[in-house]
Amino acid sequence: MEGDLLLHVLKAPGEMAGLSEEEWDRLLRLARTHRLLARLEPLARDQGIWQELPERARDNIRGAQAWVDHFQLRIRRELMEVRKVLRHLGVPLLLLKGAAYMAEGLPPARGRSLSDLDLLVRRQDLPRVERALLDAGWKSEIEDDYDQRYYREWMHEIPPLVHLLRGVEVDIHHNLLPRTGRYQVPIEKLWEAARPLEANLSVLAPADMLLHSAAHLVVSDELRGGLRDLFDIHQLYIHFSAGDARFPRELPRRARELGLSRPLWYVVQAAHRLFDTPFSPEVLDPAGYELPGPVTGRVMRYLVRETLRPRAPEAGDAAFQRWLLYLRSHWIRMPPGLLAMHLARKSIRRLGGRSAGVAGE
Amino acid sequence: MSASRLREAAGGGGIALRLGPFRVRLVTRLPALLDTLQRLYAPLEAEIPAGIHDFHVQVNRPGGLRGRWRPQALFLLDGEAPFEPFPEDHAFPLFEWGLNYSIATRAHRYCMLHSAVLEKNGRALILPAMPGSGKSTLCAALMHRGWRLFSDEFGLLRPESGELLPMPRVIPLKNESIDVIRTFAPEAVTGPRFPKTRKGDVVHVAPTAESLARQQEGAMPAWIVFPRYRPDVGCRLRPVPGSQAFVRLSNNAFNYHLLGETAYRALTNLVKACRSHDLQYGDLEAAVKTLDQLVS
Repeated sequence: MEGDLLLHVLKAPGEMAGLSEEEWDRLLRLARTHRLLARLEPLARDQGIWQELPERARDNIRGAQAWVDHFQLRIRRELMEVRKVLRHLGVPLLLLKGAAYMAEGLPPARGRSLSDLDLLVRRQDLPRVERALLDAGWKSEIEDDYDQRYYREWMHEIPPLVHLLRGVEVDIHHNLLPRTGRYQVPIEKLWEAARPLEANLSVLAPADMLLHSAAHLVVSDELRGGLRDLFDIHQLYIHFSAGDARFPRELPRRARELGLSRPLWYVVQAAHRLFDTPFSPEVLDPAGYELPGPVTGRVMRYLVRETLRPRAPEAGDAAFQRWLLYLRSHWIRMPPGLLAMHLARKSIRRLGGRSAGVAGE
Repeated sequence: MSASRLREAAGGGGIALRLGPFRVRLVTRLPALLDTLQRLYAPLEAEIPAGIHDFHVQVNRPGGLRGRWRPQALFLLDGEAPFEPFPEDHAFPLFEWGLNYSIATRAHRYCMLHSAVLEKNGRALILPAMPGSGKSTLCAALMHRGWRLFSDEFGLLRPESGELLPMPRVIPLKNESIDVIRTFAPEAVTGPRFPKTRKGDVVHVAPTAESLARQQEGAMPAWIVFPRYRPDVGCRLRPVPGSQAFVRLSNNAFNYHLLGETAYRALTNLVKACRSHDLQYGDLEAAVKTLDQLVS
């Protein structure tokens, strides 16, 4: 399959040295479509083959890298500004996803594009944090009352805030997943295990960081960034298991403890299949997981893997799988009754010609 | 490639076009677009696609019913449409505009000045594009008085070497400028008139044969001239301090903020290596003469 070339290179970056120009032409497009283009430079440099790559390929990768550097800088600056405003509140902040990878210098941070700053605060601190940011020039992105209420009642974050002058989206979470969804994460346990970076600033513990990414990937209704997130998980696993021999045993245990056994299982299966991630036997052993019935398990495993499989840009999205993914992600996120209400409301609005600016769209 | 062969290739696996440092793969089933390309980029060096292409582009009729009663053309970059379709008879401006978009959003390997660039005696002149500058008109005029066209729109600067790279493309002229250039340079090869674009009537002037033939040959920058068209005044050239030239250039670059430090260093070196001037002109002949004297 066309997309296999990208998987092949991500699995074994040293292979980039032997690609023909025609293969590069395909690889560059695949990597760009899946937001992985800038990742190729650090992967090639680690192999010591960067200078050997065709100049036109390097020019394209460097162009993408310049973009990524710029956005990473914007996120760093935004974090600085947010902390400046929140300093006097003394509220603990926890960095999530890309911001955490950057702060810790983890492998996925290199060449990773990110557009939003994702932060976690405790629920009781949320009103103070939001007030302070609104007073300091951030503005809510969502003006519609229904959408505001939807966020506040059902989501795990408040409506995105954007500073008027800088335009970076700041997402303030109080949990990792929506309050209504199938997976409920006991958030206090994550705070307990968090690793402090500085006063009032921390990141998730290694296992929790990987589990967050896995859970996010499984409930997300986006196809585009999925392979990128799966590759993050692949790199995180390799990095954390190299640094701590207990990590592979800890991971499924922690997943059970946090009620994230299923998402971890689906994601481990997908990464194993698509990237040959060197999971140790205890991570691949189904006995370590709390799994659904065999039918649901197989269907989900198939769906997670196949919706992530890379496709050539002009092949478009597999419409049927996209639809399944949409249903699946909403089904995971909300109870059926609420889901029906929500979808109905959105359809009516769409017919009325108004854009539905609801999370994840 | 013969016209029929070109059509066949363009409608199938596409044709590869050279655009200065870039290679474009174009798939199109619109013969009028190919005709205009052949006229304005003669000889059109189209090849069968092989190797790496920076931009994979399609310009075709969009699907759906609407196209049946009012034909449209849609620009796709890597299978995605960055903007709404144009009327089909505007496929050529759409292609040119789409390429500008593609380059401006992706080619961050270069520092991209929003300027016309021309070369004489192996050294490059930068004409930054300020609103109302008459830059395109002046650029087309210089090209027909012995200057080699690098670009009317993109000053492609290699940050590590300070070299400017050519990317000769058609020069779009608007409204009154069309007749000004036709009078000034009757030998200029022009394309069809596109009425009522967003910028009024547009006619494209072809790059000269020499500009196309030497499009792989870069040059070091030597002059920065900020042109300003003032019909009531004569021709006046005034030196501009480097610091001011820097500020004006950086505010006007496509990716100055995106490249950050890289662009800061590149522009600092550029301004140090150049003499900078303001040019007010009401008459093209006088402006061309003034610039020829400046560089001789």
